[in-house]
Amino acid sequence: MQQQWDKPRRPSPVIFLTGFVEAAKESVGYIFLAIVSTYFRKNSEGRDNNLIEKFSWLMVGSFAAVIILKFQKIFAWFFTLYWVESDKVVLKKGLLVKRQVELPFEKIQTIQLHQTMLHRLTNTCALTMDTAGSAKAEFVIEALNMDDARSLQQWVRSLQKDVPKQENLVVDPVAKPLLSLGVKDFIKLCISENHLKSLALIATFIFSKAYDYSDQLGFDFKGFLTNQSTGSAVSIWSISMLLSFALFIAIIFSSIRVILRFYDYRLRQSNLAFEMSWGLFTRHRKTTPFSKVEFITWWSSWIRRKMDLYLLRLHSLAESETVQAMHIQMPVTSKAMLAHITNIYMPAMPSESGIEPTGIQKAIFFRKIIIIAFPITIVAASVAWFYVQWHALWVLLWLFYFILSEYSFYRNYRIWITEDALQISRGIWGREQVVIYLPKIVSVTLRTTPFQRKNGYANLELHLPGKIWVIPYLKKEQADYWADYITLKIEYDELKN
Amino acid sequence: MMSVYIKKKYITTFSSFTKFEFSMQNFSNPSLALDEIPRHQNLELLQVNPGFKTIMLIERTILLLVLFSGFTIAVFYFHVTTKPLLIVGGYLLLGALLGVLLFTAGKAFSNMGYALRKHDLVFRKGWLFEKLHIIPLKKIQHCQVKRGPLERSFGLASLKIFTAGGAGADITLSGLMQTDAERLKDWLVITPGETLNPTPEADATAMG
Repeated sequence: MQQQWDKPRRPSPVIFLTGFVEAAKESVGYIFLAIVSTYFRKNSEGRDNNLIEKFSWLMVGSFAAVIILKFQKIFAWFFTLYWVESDKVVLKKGLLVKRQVELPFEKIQTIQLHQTMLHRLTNTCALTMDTAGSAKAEFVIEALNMDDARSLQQWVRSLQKDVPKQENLVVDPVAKPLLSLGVKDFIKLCISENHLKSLALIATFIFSKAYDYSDQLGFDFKGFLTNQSTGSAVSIWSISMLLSFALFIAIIFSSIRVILRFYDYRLRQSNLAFEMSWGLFTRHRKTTPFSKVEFITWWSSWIRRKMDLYLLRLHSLAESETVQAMHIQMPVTSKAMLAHITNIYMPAMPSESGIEPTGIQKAIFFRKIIIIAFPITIVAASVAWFYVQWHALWVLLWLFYFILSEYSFYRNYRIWITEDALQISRGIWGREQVVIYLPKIVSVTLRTTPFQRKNGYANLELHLPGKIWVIPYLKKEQADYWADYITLKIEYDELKN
Repeated sequence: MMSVYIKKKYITTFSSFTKFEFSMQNFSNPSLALDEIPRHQNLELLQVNPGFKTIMLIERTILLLVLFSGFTIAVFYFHVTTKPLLIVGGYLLLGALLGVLLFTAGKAFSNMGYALRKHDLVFRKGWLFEKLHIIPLKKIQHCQVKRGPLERSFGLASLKIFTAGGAGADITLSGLMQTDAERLKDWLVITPGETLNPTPEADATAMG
């Protein structure tokens, strides 16, 4: 099998198409702007009647511009080579600036295959390999024959010393998935999505595009908004109609997002790895060895808790906290299934060990009110007073909400530490659970402010690869003890290994 | 010669801890009593070179000089020379800021310190907002010695310590003598694995 990979190989010729599609996707905004500014604007001024001819020239020009500007991406086939050496995988790419990426086997964290619609039509996929070194995947081949990609994935995994035997990672593709989503699950996911977030996304998109194109279209969007907001009569009926319509749009939008994200979601399990595949247009397939999972979290909003629905994340060394596409996130549709999956990382949950949880100190609640809520309320109410007089008191509603939510945060914050693991439960309305196997922690930090030192409190920071978990306002002795104990556990584990 | 302070009490407790058998077959994991765990509070931290205090003072003074210059240029550029109260007030404010920065530099320096233990590095910094960082040596990925112009003129260096998955350095140990920084770098990256003694006797010998 080594013979197959030790000679430099080129990607699939489909890379021409994927490169062009990607280049076109990147350029579509600019092309649209060019079309709007040169075609519609002049037409509205009545200076140009030969519309069809102009449009076709514009399209040809845009096409040529995309090819010239994105030459390297489209013709990547000529400049990309990859091969496997005895201890590393090598990728060479670039036209003007040559770049050679060498990933030693032991540094590779995840190997992923992604399939867009184009890939699926051509039986190819994009292959990415991540290390812990950077937020982006270092090794990316945009188009590779599907069988070649699978074979390379398994070959590299088999050469990794710290990853157990290849057969333990290979998942039987015809085996019944551990988890898949039915229609009922989709309905639950769609209903319980964060519709306010969807609404905010839609509004931001519409407003930003409207401002961008208002000059080109010769349409005064700002003036239109001002006229609408001042000219129309405001009534409870009109506001509720508007809100209902916005909510309806948001639900539709959320549902589309859920379907795109979790369509045909399948979770399979081998002896030593999870394999997940999902996506409607872009199909993703990830294999995550259990040993690469650094810590796990699961989250459920208030409504999802009622529906017994959780979003579980397996945090690995390779992923970036800010790049959502890299996250290994799975919807879990029952508590029993959640227990089954988390059991692999942590056989006994600290919260179920029978020990009493530790809370954070109430001082955090008062400090937030004094330092954040009161100053903001006073400034906001004072400013509002000049414009709306007594209506400025509405600001107090925010203060009330802030106090309520911060009190809820303080009340809900719970920590369990057992011999080997730590669990944090937190949240205001929903709940997030964090489970960390202590030896996975990289380092610990104790932070104190003058107020905390005076009153005997400290923040304990747990540094994990790519993430810092802060446990705020612990009793100082407690924080000191936990810092020492966690350090001991890390060092003990290293000695043991 | 770089010296490292380790409290006697800590050595005793950690040596007793290493009595556990480190083979998988016989591995046991008994719980420890609170007073058996090595405590970082018992450590005497090693202060960095006093030359670093001078560097801190110079850096803060340079920062304030830039602000002074900026303010003076703004005064003439915006023609506010007719408002003496504003000018005097501005300079007084900057002067007060300089005082605070110099005062806090001294305090921050005296609170800064580190201790190298057999299995980890402890580093404390900050005066108003104090931060105490404990990094197990085995978790260190790589180290980097950095020398700025001011540090070079004082014969000092900073040691940046990186762990897995972090966006930047986890700890920057400033104010080390250059030779100490180089030796510490080599020791942190190369030595930790070799210093682990599998038997309590060897461990006790190594600890002295």
